[in-house]
Amino acid sequence: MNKLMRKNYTYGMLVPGLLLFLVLFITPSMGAFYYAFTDLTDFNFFSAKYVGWENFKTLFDTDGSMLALKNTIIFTVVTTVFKITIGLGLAVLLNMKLRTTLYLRTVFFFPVILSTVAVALAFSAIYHPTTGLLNQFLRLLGLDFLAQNWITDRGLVMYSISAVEVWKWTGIGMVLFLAGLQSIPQDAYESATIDGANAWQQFRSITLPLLLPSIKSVFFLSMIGGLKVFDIVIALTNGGPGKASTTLNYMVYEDFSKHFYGEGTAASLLLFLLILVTVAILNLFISRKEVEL
Amino acid sequence: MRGLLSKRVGLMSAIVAMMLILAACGGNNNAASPSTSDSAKPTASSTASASNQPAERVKLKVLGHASWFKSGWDAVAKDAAAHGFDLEVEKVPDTDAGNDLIKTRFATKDTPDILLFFPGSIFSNMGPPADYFVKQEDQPWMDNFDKSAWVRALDEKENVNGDRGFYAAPYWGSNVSAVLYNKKVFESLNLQIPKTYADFLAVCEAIKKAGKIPVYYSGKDSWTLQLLPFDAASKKGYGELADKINKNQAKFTQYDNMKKGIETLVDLKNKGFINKTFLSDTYDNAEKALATGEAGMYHMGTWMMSDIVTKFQDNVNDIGAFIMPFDGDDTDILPVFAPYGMFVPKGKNQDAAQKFVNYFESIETQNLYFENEGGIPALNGVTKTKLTPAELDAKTLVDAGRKFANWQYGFDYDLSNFGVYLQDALVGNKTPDQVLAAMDKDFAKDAKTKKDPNFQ
Repeated sequence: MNKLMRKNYTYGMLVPGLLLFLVLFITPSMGAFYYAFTDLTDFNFFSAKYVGWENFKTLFDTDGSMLALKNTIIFTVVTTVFKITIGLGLAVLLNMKLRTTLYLRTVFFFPVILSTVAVALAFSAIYHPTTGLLNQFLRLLGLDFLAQNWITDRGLVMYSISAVEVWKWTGIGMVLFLAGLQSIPQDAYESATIDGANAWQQFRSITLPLLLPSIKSVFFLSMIGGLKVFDIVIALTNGGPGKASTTLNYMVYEDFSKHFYGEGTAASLLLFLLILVTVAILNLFISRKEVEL
Repeated sequence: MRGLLSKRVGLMSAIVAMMLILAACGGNNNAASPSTSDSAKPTASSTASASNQPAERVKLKVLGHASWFKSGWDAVAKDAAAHGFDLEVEKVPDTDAGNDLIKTRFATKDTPDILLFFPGSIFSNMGPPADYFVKQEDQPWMDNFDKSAWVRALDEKENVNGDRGFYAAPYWGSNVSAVLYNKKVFESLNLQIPKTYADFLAVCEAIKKAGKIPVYYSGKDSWTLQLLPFDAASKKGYGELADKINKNQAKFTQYDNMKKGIETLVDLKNKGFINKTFLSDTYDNAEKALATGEAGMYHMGTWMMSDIVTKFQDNVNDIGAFIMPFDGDDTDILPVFAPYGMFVPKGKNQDAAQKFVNYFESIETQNLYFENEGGIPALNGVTKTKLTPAELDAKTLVDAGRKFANWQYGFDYDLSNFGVYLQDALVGNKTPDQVLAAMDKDFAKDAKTKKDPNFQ
């Protein structure tokens, strides 16, 4: 083996993996930029004709498309905010030396490993207006006025779905925050204590700035997950009642299931661009804040 | 170290052994594969006429969806074996994948001798029917078949080749959409079957006063909401309107009876005649509510009775059926959901396959089939059935001509959001007119996507 081959043979080992990645991911992804502008309705890709912006026009003209956008934004904002705040709160709590710390960490992480469909079925029963645990519990406490049609009320349904998502995925944020908290050197807290800083001042001036990389990770994971929401919606409400809980990714699914491949590709391209632009802007903003802190 | 190594080796061995065992178990499991096959075993019993018996034993390959082969088929298969037909059944999944598999088989000329498939859909799924199947119009079984009652239901629609007509022989029983009602509830309140919409509302009022649910809506399963508007829309003569809608010469917004059905659906809700949690309640909940008398009435297909027989055996006789009185005259009818189709593909075995179809559609064999299987026979003269009282009520009305076959399959393009739009109407998010306008939009979009020149 000559010197050049010895130096480069490792790249050769990458070729099979790269080829698979190219064929199964890069090519279809790049293809979306073209097929979003075609009338593709079956898998005969070569027969697709260019139709300009027609798919995008139809998409915005589709019944409930604006509602889907609004629902996606509501879901993203609500779940991101609560996943971060509750996850951070739990992490701070479970970073303390309690006798039940390990047990509680397991308990709070447990929903993450459950199947979304199983969770949706369980919450479908919990949310039932008459026989559901939630309303029965509220009535038991004499809080009848708080008992609601949680997933059949148009105004409530997105918040009820968001609550399930937060319950299920907060454990991930908690684990990431815990890892971040445990990497903060104890010296900083000891110095602050000597300087007379109270717990809140320590949290604001030490914990929060040093935890910012973790917060950033959880923020982007939650936001991207929120913008792409699909599984919990289809399993819990199937986009209903009516189209009240339809989201952008649900629209993509509907388009593909009806063989509107051109329009479905246009919808997923729009979703991709929405995620890309939102993440880029927020990343820029947070990075600046990171430097300031 | 050595102990650890031997533990690892042991663990690996156990995993490999388990994989081998699982692979061995799965290796011969045809049920897990896309298609399965089994053969009918001959028995001594015989009921069919000798004229349909082949001169010598023939082996016929039958292809159809897995759930279409039930107790009725099993009984016929045994009898057929005694008549010289050895049937090899190949089952495909009851999903789109199953349909695709059948289409692929025909595209690659790997055709069965008998195909069980959806009538009226041959052109769109395979191509011109005459290229693939034997026409049934001149077959002897047609003597017991009222063709006019099954146009747009069991026949193939006109296509570019112009070869419309009956290529399918009826397979399985038909079902009707009706108001299924609890007789005990009616009897306890001394109520009669309503003849007009005003009577219907009075019945609802009486049931409500008795503390029961007059009409059950299972809105969580949105498809179930469609039955009531379907009942209203399925008027005789509306096939022509459907044809015009298919050709973009008319719109759903012009469909007055459909609108009336949606308005009635909303009206019953507004009058408080339905269950309060209708958007959380399911088809299963409805079955229980109707069977136990918690609810008085439910708009549903008679196929529900097979579930009632299984789940609520003691209540089967408590349930009857009547026509929803929209106009209070003979124009109120029962929409009939046609049976599936039994097709004879063209090929070397087509004569033997046709003999089997004629044997299957003979009154004797139909009696045997329906003795063992629910559903309303499509052929006239079938006397032995195991119909429930609700199905018998419906059959009486069907036999009296108060029926319209397969209205809902008269439309060529997408109406799959109808149930969702009805949910929207019930929560006040859409008016009946807006529901119809949304249907027009979906219909046109699908037609345009499928490149129908009338919609370009």
